[in-house]
Amino acid sequence: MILNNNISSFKLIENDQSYSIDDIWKITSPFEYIFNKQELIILCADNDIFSISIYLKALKSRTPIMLLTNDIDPIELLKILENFRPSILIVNNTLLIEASYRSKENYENYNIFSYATDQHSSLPINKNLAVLLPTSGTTGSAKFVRISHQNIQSNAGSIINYLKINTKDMTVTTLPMSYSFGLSIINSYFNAGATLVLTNKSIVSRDFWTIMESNKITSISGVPYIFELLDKLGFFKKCYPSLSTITQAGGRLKRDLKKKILEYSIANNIDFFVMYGQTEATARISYVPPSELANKIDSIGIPIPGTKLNIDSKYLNEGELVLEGDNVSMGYALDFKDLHKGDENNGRLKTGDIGYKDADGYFYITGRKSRFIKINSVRLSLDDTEKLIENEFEGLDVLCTGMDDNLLIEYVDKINCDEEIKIFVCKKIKIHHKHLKISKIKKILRNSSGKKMYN
Amino acid sequence: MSTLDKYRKVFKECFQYDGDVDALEYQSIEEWDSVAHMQLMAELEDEFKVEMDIDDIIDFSSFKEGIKILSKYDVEIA
Repeated sequence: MILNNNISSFKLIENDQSYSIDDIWKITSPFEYIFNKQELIILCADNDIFSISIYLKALKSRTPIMLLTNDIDPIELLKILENFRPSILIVNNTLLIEASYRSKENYENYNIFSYATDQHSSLPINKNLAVLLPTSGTTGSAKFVRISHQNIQSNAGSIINYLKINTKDMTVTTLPMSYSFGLSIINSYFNAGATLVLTNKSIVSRDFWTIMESNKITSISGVPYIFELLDKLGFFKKCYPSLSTITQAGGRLKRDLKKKILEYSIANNIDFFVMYGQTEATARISYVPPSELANKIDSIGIPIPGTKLNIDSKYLNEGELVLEGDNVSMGYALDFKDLHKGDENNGRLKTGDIGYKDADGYFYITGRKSRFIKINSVRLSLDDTEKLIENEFEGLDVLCTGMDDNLLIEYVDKINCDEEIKIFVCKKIKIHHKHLKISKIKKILRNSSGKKMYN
Repeated sequence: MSTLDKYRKVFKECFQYDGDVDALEYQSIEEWDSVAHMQLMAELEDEFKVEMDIDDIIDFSSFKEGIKILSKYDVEIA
């Protein structure tokens, strides 16, 4: 995928102030010491000018960067610091962590910590490593995806191609930078030389609506729960003349809502793109061409330009979706020792999703191979959740199952501790209790090797 | 139960929050995020039998602000 270099037209808008690419480099210029190809930066990012400038400069200088959310648990952050030994940590100044730094600098609401690094001498960081993105949510299993420069360029180029993003496009940030979908919007808009309006405010706040009304927003992107919120807030009863594209990924949108958005899009001359992706594929894997959505309402679409999708199954129509492309990440990292590794996937990714392909070449997902669900599009490992609860509540035997947005926790114990488990899980995993169902059961079945049996 | 007690109860249950709900503002605590906000609106609408305007949902930025907003729907929180 060759990218047309329109970066010079790229603009960021924050609080009605416009920032050109030169302004962005000016913001990072006092911090040249941060950008060292051989050392890792950890950024607890927010959708603001400083975070995005740091990220873009890291890419430009080929300095590897790990992206985390700015509301990360300090204990989790400390574990990550210990495991990954970065030379720089950039974090909101309200987050207090105990780690001995070499120096500290302050910029607006950020603290920039420098750490002594004498640990990389025998294992240099792979020169193709661009970004580390977290996979699972907050269950303490900090596994990161190793994304290369080529992955980013390839996926951005492909996305710009099928979404037809150009210099006249303008979108507003609705997703975190540390989330592959959110980051892909930044990467694609940057390379397309388009405009990104920044806000940290949620769509439920007055600021977001002011931005929609006072800027010529041409595109809006979101995950299912964002569209549910937009729907409740009457978005699909209003008209935004400049809006020409709506994109959705991060899980399956409920069919009624999908149809409603499709009707709204047809009535308002908007291209509505339903998409599918994974962090392990940098971001995007497939999309449904808007004109076909009515006929392919449950489909995840066709592979994005430059990639191939196959169903891995010998005898049946249904099997695991396997992706081939330059957007397939290099592998995972659990600690600094994994950062020197190269490409372990060689452009081929087993997605862990099960599905089939129809006669027109459109793909459908019917199930998931791996034991995780998504709650508000954030991945949650069911096995890790079980361990988390069992570690907190000694003597408890726990079974976690469920579907997206619905976690079911069943446990075996003499006493009833539904309430305690609910409070613990909601706080630890940061989910609303409406996504949770807890019940006591008599027994957890195990197979002959002692492994828990799930239905 | 007074309407103020009922109002407080909705907040406490929605956020599973034991602290001082009177001081709560949107996003002032982890629990009051955008998803919980819509849940809170739905529960308040149920409790007080009202259907709130979009603008009021967006402007419902705190426990105290909410009292003013509900009075527009003839709900007296006291």
